[in-house]
Amino acid sequence: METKRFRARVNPDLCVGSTMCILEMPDAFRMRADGHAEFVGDALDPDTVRDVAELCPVSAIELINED
Amino acid sequence: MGKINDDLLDPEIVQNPSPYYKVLREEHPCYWNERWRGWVLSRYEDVYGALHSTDMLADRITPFFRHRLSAEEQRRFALTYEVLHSFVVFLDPPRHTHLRRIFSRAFTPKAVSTMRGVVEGYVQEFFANWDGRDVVDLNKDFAYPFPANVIASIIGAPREDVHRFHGWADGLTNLLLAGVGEDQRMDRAQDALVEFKAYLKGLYDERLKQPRDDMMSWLMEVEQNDPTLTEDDVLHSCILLLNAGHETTQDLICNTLTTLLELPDQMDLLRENPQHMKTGIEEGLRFNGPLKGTMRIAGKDMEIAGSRVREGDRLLLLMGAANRDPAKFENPEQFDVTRNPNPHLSFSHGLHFCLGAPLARMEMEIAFNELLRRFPKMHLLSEVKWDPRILGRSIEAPINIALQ
Ligand code: HEM
Ligand code: HEM
Ligand code: SF4
Repeated sequence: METKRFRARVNPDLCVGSTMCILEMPDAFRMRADGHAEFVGDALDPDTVRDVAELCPVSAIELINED
Repeated sequence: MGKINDDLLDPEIVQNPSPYYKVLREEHPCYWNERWRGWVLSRYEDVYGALHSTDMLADRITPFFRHRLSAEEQRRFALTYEVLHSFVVFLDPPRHTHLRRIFSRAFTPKAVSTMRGVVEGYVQEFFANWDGRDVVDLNKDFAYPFPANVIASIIGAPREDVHRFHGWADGLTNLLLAGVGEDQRMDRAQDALVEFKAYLKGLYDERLKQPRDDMMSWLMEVEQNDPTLTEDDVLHSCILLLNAGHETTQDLICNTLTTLLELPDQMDLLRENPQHMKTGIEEGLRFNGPLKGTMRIAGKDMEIAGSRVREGDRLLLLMGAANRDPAKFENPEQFDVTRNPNPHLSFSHGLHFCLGAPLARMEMEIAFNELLRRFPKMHLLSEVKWDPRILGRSIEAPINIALQ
């Protein structure tokens, strides 16, 4: 069975810089100078991305299919 | 440059802060207010920067107790200090990070969606009591009891006891509003805290024997598995949630509904297009959010908008002024229920971004959809008079509304 890999994207219009995603996955997210987080990690399995997306207080993390 | 009024409670400023905010933003973006004894920030860029800065400390409790109280008072009010100093809202990393990570799991948008039924139940019940009445007091008949009931249910306090929270919460709020150690107020606040904590300890002990499906039981389970957490952390966190989740939501309901009732075009637009409800509520937050400002302590010497701020200085960050900054918002003095995006700062930003925002947003959406649907003829009978507060933006009761 093929397992798809996903990336995350932070919507800067929604992100409030709570840092929750960075605390959860310090290798995958980073704070930009403008106070918004960004995804800098490698592709992930969808459950991992969904778990961290759920912790975001403003649902700013979107799941993006690698393909 | 004209002289700036240092009296943040000047009736003219309280009734309509906008012109004052404009002068601050344009002429004194980082202003030393001698009467308040701190710096006042008002531009979006500066307030946003301060909320996101790791050099700004949220612990304004320790300096308050150390520098503004005598040694005798410090001893007398040790319990108040201990409770306040354990609240996430007044903590800095690393302790803030630790507590916040625990709490945030209880208030994610998904966790909050499981509370929808509780919220809908209360909304239906309150508005069923409005049916057939000619006039209601928005505050007493809905905005005050509704969020208190919701947060009490979530924590797990029996509904019969909710009225007792009001007195305790008011004691604490008076302390917070007084802002300074007026002895009697501090005594009353401490008495309220002692009673409140003893009451919660009763709920705690019941749950030791028999855990339930509520937030207190959940926090107790976390406590049992985390050696850095104590019984006090659980009890104090419940006190914080009960307070934080109550008056702010009450004010947002009153401020947003009165604004809409004063702008019939916007009200009609929203009633005819309920799909704008989400953006409408955000605009309510931007326009007259429940907190005009919040406070930080400078963690080191720094320069802000040309002024030299020293380590230990306190700062008032005026989210209310930032929310009307034309550098960030088009036509900022216009209330527009369709405004999108709307990056207002009314829930704060950065590390201390309001933990309860998903709950507050859900409470507002459910309540306003129902209000507008059930009572299409609502109109205001009272004049809107704002309460003189430095930080809060709150309307004096009663707020009489005709339903017919
Ligand atoms: C419309 C309603 C509300 C508004 C406008 C509001 C506003 C705020 C603001 C401005 C802060 C940050 C203060 C600062 O940065 O110094 C904050 C923090 C907080 N709020 Fe709210 N709040 C609301 C409702 C709620 C509700 C319903 C709850 C709980 C159920 C809640 C719980 C908290 C907590 C626990 C914090 C501290 C978070 C931290 O420091 O990490 N709030 N709120
Ligand atoms: C049980 C709940 C609370 C109590 C007893 C409490 C008490 C206090 C006290 C004693 C102060 C210090 C006053 C001073 O510096 O002169 C203060 C300040 C403040 N609190 Fe709270 N607080 C509570 C909850 C909250 C929450 C949840 C928020 C945010 C939503 C909040 C926002 C603030 C702000 C913005 C200030 C700055 C006040 C100032 O400028 O003097 N508080 N509070
Ligand atoms: S958790 Fe959400 S709001 Fe917080 S920094 Fe990450 S993307 Fe931004």
